[in-house]
Amino acid sequence: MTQRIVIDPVTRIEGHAKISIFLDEAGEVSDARFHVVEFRGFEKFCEGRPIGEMAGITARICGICPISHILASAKTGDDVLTVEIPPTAEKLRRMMNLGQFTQSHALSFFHLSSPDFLLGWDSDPAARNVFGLIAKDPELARAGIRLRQFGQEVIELLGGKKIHPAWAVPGGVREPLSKDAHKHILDRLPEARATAVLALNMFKKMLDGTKEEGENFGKFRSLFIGLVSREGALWEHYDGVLRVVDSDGNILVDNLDPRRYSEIIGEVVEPYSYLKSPYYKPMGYPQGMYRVGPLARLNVCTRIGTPLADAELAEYRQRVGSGGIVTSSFMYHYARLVEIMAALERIGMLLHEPDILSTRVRSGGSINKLEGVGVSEAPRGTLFHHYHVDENGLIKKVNLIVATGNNNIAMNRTVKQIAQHYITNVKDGVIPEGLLNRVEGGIRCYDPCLSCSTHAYGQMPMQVSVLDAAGNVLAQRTRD
Amino acid sequence: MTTTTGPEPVAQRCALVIGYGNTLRSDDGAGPFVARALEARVPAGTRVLDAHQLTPEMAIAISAAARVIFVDAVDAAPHESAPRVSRLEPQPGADPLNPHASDPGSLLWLAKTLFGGAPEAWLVAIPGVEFGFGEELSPVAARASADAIVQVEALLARI
Repeated sequence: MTQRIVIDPVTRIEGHAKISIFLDEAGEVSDARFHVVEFRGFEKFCEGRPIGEMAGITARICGICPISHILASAKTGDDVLTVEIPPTAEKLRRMMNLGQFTQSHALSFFHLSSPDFLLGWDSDPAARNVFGLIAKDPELARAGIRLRQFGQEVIELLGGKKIHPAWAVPGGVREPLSKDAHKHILDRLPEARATAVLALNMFKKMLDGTKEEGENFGKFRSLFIGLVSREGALWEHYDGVLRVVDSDGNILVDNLDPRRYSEIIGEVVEPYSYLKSPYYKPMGYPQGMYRVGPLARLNVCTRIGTPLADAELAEYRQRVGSGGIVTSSFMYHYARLVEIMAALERIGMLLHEPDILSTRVRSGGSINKLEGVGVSEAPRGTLFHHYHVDENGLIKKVNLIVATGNNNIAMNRTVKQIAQHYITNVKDGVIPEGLLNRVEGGIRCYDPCLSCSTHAYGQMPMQVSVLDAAGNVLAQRTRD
Repeated sequence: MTTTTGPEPVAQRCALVIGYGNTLRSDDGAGPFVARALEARVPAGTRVLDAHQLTPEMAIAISAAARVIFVDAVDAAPHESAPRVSRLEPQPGADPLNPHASDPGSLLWLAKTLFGGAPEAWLVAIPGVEFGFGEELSPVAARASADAIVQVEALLARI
């Protein structure tokens, strides 16, 4: 009899979802699906709004990465206005995005994923949480909170508040960086860098003990998509051009203007999820599976361009990618830490730019095009905003491809791979909790932001279900 | 690495007021409303935070404060119209690292456990009756917020 396992809710992710694991007559995993069960519909209700409001509206998609939406939306506005924003404005937008990378990655690593690393996948689930983490390693927990605080402060000092600051607008930014804010960020950088080193060292020490996870948590061939700088294909997070590479490091697409994203990315909607399934068009669906985010950004770039992060990148590639492309989604965690270091070094560089305190931070403009595209890198991956407007700048149509959505096919593949490796010969639908936690852990590698990717409203619990061939639920775990 | 693990000397520590809630959810915005009203009225040395949610890094500021007053909206009981003032103790209940789940007691616990101390703390709870989309307070919450401002000022003067 075929069976199905459902994990509901998947915990320690941003948003809520469920996982179904299908078993065949022999009790072996035949398939698995990651369902996103939230719906919000920003693409629809933004219609009719003025383009100048879009950064503020789309920021409300998410409380974790509102900056990504603010920046992508403001860039889309720049495109519609056909303005070149002042150089200082671009630097400040970059600094805010780097602050967001820092706080978001810190949240993912220190708070959401560390309980598994430090306490063990099979430890008591009642203690495998933030309280267990604090009891086990208070210094790490403290450092993580302070690192997240640093990222939040960068955002707040620039934008006036930590969450949903309506600061970046078409044409630039509303306010320049103050001298006091400049000094504060500069003063706190050394501690933040020390925390990044602490986390990197901790993770690297743990690598030998996590070989099984490295081999089975989403290790497969796929494409990788991300922005790289126009010159030298350096690590990029705000602007640049799109690059697509495969698992052998071959460059399939290079120097693609992000405005032409729809030439390479198609979108499919599956009936079991509100999360879109984007794919690489030339290969079709679902063969055109690709990954975005920290793992992909480190795979598509030549180097980062800052000394400490480049040293970490070289070691990362050597240790977990045999010197080349890293194909295991488990290494998203490692890549996230390398990116924290990159973000901190880049913030330091920006603070030393001679014009960083300039007050010329906004260009004027009016509606010069009826269509615009803005693409930037969110912490979780490449983010696309695409608007059509009328002559008055009112929105007629919106398309959003959000970082987590880009990874949808790969997340499904990851869940299936983990389930097939760890869940074998199930009798009576009884699955040890630690194994189901590994399935959830596969999803947490991607640090999915489901509120973003589905434009979700409200919250739902996460559920894991086991189903037999007839669709009967044999086992179910639900967490609020 | 430098981390703040101990409280500042009492002489240098200030009072902290945290008004929090979603200003796009009608009466849920009562906490930020009170915080903004207090900013120009509180005694020197008092820090006022106006926040969408409680975030874990607030534990750092809490640990450094001599006392802290949280201001939040709550579902009104039948016929309830006045703010409720209650003492708070550190409680490791809700996940203090999750802004959607965190509460004042868990933040105080985090401050005490990781950052060296949790000060005396109070919650001023403002009864609300309308939590749908909107940027205005209901008449009930508006009246209670005005009372809450007086209550917070009284607490600051007394402690």
